[in-house]
Amino acid sequence: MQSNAGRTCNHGVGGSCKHLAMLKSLWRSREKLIITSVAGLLIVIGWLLGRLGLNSVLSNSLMIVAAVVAGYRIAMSAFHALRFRILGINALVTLAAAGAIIVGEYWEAAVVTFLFSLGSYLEARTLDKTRDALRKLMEMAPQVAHVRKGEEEVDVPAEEVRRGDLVIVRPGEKIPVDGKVVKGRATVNQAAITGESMPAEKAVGDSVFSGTINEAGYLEIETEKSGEDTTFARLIELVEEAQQEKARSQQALENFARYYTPGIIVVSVLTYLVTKNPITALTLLVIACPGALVIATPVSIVAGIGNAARQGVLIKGGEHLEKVGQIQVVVLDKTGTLTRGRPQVTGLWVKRGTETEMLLKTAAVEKLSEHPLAKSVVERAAGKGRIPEAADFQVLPGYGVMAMVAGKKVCVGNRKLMQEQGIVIDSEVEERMASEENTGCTAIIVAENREILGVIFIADVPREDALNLVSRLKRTGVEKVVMLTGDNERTASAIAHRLGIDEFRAEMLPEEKVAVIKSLREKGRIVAMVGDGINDAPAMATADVGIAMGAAGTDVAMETADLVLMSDRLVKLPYAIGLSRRTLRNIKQNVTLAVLVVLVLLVGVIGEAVVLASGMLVHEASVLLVILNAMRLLKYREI
Amino acid sequence: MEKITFRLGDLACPDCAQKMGQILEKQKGIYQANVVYTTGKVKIQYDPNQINLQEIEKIIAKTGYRILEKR
Repeated sequence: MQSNAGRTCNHGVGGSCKHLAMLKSLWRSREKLIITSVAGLLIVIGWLLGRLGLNSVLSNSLMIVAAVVAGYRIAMSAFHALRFRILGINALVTLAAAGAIIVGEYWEAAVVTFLFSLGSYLEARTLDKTRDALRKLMEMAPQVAHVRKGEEEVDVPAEEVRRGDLVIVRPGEKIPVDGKVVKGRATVNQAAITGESMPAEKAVGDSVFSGTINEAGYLEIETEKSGEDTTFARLIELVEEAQQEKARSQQALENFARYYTPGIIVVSVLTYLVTKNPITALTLLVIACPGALVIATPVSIVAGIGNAARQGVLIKGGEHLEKVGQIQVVVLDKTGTLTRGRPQVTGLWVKRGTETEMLLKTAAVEKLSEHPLAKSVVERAAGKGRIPEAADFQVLPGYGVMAMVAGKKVCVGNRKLMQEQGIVIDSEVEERMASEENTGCTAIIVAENREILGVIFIADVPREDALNLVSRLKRTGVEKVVMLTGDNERTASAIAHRLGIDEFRAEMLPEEKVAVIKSLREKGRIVAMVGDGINDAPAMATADVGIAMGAAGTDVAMETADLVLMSDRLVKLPYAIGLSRRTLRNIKQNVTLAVLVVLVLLVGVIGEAVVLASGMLVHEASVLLVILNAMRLLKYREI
Repeated sequence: MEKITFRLGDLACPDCAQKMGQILEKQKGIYQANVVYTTGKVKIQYDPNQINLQEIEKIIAKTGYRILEKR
């Protein structure tokens, strides 16, 4: 089509051709609006002429022209659909308008086609707004990657970057691939994936995701995944698939619509045969498409899923959304979900010297270790003073570590290390250790030249946002929160008590977690299991709703869970449940409204209070109302 | 078999949009046409030996939808 326009241009009409092209593109983008406005204008002029009683033939002709202008597209669509033996609302409206003209109701024909045209224009516009949430997300998809080839830098389309390629990302640029940072350090905004507005610090060894933005800093990334395999692309793909799996209520409505439309045609014919009133019969055709009813569910779901996606929450579709909205019991795994899964120093007990001295000496040794417990000590010592240099570092796996610090031998480890080094643990130290260990802490002993300086206690502590999680969940309507853990009874009890958890089960094996969920479900409860999606996969599959947390980068979790929280922030959990409940309520409101409108229209038509134009007005208004109601979901934030 | 995705404008009533999908699926050479209502797209799997892109685009245009983008 475009090449044709180009060819006429070459024939030399020059300037006017440019205008023509402009008009053409204006027409293409605003077709519906222009058609509707022209038809509307014709109707107004025709109505004025008729009102003034000047010329009824002219007035009527204008109405017919208006009906043709507004109805042409509708009729063409209807014609194409009918060729494929599909009977839609376009056919019904065409039939009604044509019928009205035949029986001499020109005004009705014009207004019906005009209102239908205006209605579908407004619907398309408002629906576009609903989709914006998702569209904005998709526009985040990066286009170009700067790939480093030796000393050179080459720009490559993002989907063509290969595994192992080195990609350079400068400040303000989007990260084009999933990979690991191999050089540099940067502040990265991960909102596109996790919905978190707080940027994350990325340094060598950290994972970064395609679609996130390097706000400040320089990064060199070794590519792991690109194009369609990236977390970001998967996220969009899953959001799109989410709507294909329909909610049960939606399927019922669509089945209903399938019989409703032909049914109404039969009723309409019967009405005409019985009443001999063609207008009533035609009005039935106009209101035959249960527009609001068909759109009631999907439009709410689109708005709900769109809002969620912007927050880094992926709801897998209508049916899942229904279930999430009904959750009564939330079951959480402790480690990695309620707690960071990353140990922290929770206490220090000093026998000799000062706390700071002991910490700095320990950190000097631990700095050289790669053990997860070591990291927590170094973190704790940071800012306490200068960490001294250590030499002759030694690791004894399962025991601890040792090194020379300022000429003295510092040993950091467990009881076995002390025994092995011939260091005596007296009863005072043993007592302290035992009492803390009973609450689930790990105790590590620090000794200098065979003399114990003190003990450092380390434990996996709750996340900050776990502290008010239970009350937030209850506010969304969750009845009970249950914690499962493989840890011992005392640790579990301490954490459960602190977080206000209703019920906990300690010393659980993975298969026992499944049994707990089964027994909860057997009591008739709708149960959600929150986990990381990998270790907890069986339990998540057993639950009514499997919720994966911190799923960014783990495909398995993204694929298998019903509800996916891309970030590992617990606050997203009450948000997602609250949003789902609100969406369900929104759907109910929409369906109720739509059913009421259909009933009112049917009664109105039978009572002859509703005729063609007013029937169309109510019909289109109800569709718009349903869309506007759904759009309220876009504004939802956790209360 | 090839895959193509069109982003569409004016995707109004979902009922009509689904009907476009049904029409496309009745074409020879089109195995699957998924109208993705949430993002305003239609994803098509087709056999280029039996139907070409122009023909598919023509059907979409005839049913009353504008193609904004294809890939």
